[in-house]
Amino acid sequence: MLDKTILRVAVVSLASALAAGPVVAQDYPSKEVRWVIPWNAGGSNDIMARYLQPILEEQGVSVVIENLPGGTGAVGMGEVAVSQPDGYTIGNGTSSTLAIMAQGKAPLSNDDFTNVIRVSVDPLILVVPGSSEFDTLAQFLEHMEENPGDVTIGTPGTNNLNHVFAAMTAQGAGVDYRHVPFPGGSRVIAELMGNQIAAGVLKPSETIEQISNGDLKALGAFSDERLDVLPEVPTFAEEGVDVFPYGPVVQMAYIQAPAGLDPEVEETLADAFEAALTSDQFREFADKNGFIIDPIRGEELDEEVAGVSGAIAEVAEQVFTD
Amino acid sequence: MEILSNLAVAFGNEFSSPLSLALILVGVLVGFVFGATPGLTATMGVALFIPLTFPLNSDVAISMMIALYCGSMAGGAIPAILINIPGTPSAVVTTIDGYPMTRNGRAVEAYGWALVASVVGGFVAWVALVSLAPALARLALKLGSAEYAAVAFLGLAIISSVVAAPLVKGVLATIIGIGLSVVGFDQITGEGRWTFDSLQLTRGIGIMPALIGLLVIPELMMTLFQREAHAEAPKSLKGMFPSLRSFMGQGVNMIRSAVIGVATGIIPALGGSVGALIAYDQSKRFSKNRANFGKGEPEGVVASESANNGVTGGALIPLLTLGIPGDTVTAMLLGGLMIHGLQPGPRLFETSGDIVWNILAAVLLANMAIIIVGAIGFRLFVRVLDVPKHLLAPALFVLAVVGTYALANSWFDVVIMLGLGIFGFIATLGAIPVYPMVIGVILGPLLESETRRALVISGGDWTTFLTRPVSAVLVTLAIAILIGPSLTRLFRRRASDAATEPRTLDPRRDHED
Repeated sequence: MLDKTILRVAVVSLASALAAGPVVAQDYPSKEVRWVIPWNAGGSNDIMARYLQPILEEQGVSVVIENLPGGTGAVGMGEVAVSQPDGYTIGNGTSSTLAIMAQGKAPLSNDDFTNVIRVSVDPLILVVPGSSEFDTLAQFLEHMEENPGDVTIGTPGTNNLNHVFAAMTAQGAGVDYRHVPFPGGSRVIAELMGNQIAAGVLKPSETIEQISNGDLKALGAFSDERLDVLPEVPTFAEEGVDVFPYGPVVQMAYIQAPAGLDPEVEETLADAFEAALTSDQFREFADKNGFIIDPIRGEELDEEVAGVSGAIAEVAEQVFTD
Repeated sequence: MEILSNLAVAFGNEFSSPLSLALILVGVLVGFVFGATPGLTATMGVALFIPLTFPLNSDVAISMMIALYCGSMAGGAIPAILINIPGTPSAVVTTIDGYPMTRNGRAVEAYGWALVASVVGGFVAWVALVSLAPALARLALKLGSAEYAAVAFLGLAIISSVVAAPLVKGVLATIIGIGLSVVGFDQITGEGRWTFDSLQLTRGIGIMPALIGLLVIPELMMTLFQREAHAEAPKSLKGMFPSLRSFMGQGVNMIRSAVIGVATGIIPALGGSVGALIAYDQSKRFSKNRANFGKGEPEGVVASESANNGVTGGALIPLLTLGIPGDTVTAMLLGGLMIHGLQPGPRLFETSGDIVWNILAAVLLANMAIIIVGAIGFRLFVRVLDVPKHLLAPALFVLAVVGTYALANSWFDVVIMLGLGIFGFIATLGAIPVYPMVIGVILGPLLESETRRALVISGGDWTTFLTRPVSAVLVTLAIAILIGPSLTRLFRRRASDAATEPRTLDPRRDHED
């Protein structure tokens, strides 16, 4: 048995050395998979990965989570891009990293990766302090119109989707605004609760607790349809504001492997992830935290990624003036 | 009263569960090791332990993680005092007086003070957490970018002035630190600065690689070049804990420092080192032994350690009551809480009250465990001084390299660390202090980005720093620290010039005549 394995490994490694290509797809995974989270430990991507870890284990894929933070995810994903495409190194791609790639701010491109499966979709919403005088999106936009260039909107990070939607909100009011980037979503929440800024663009998953307690108010959702977690919050389209003038952009996280991954290995990985993502346990976690599980893969995912990337590149050119 | 009865039940729960008590002890112990080892951080400790806590009840699991957090803060003081190497960024201030005490043969006493102060700091924070948490957390939200920037400015002013060097050199070192912190992505515009098209440099120069590089490496090189040995290991551990009388004598210092620590801990994103710095500065101001600060003054160690642990408890306040983590460790704890099905936030006490009370009881028990683990652990740690320096230095060097690599699995960080190490060594030879550089790396980004944010919010109006009262007070304090001493010196010289004028002039007149 052992001899056979050794023999097979030897033959295959010789073959792969010659062809620099496919590995032992049928044996995959025979060891732990390194899962690069290009964000700090404790962030939403990290928490999700750590929550998935034991569920994936049940699916026969054991992962080791490695945090390689920095450069809006570009450092960690850069590491994934240059790893062997053997299925033993995967990483979390996100719209944020995609955005800086699309704007040419990171020496990486979509061609460096195989897109495996989408993990989560996080809608974004416009929130104001609970004590704010504005209860509707219309009131807030009117306020922006009356005070051109004086209304502050906070976002976690800069040049990302949150920033895009902050700019789209101002565009909806037809005026300039003050964009205030903070180092993370929790800071934006603190600033809102302390009435330091007028509004923020955040995920429901990070604000749901404060919204249900009345510390924050959600005015509008940057999505085509109303959100299941916040059914009473209207979309921007309902208020006559088109926030997707350049095509669909969604905040998402998806699993990426280096380019040139064996399709069989990709299939095995995607199957394991899909089973874990659609498990009752993970669904419950997603519902509680207000993100959506939509595990598209294959060509469908490739198209989605290309679409988001193209739209962001377009938006960036138009609205990121600062 | 309700608080007391809830706590009574919670303590009952804790004490009736040996597993829970044992795990709190384990948490503190692991925290000590992570805190005491430069390069291992509390964040890493909590991250490593989250998967291990999956099978546990949520309150036991969370208690253990919080115990680890508390333990790491107290553990950071050990290498700071024994070998002049702070185990955590917060312990940087502890080295200022802790290590000179060791050199004076007072290592045991220094550590005893650190331990006692840690526990008092933790206790004050715990009282604030249990009794005033929601109110304090709301109060802290009234502070915004202008105040954050002002606190960072104050911290930088303090570190420039407290080091045992002329103010000019202190300021120079601080500016070098701020300069190092500029490398990497600009937080406001997202543009790379001084990155030379290197993807790695976009991450900037991390706090831990800078801390290890600037503080550990020069220290190791010094021990190799200097003839004199490391401080001698104490013969006995007698006299570790201060007498009741001297303890009471430090009461005010401990409580003031703890309150400063709690206050800075509640404010998201400030971190432990500012709290310790401000507490140290205040302690020096009020002390009768002012002149001895920086030369091995127990009061300095007390201020720093009491504040450190106040910060730990303080940071739990916005985490538990608002769901807002202040730093990476509390962010990790937030993740841990969520994985265990708890949603920290305003409704946590309503939805999971019993679990919260158990966690609060555990925080206090963890602080008590610090005394036990610290007192026993020190017996082992102090042996470090028995190790000949030609063995200790290489071992610490390996630890520094491995620890730096492990921070982000990056060899690039190791290169940065070593580069800064050589730079720090040269600076030390030139009698330019390295502590301000480290604090500059820590607080520089805070000062820069918060100043710019405050200006975006105010529409470019600089008076925002003076019209907001808290910010105005902090800025004034900082300026007073920077120019106060030279002003008094100037006035004194004028006064003495005036007083001595006739005498100094007389001989010349005589001569002229």
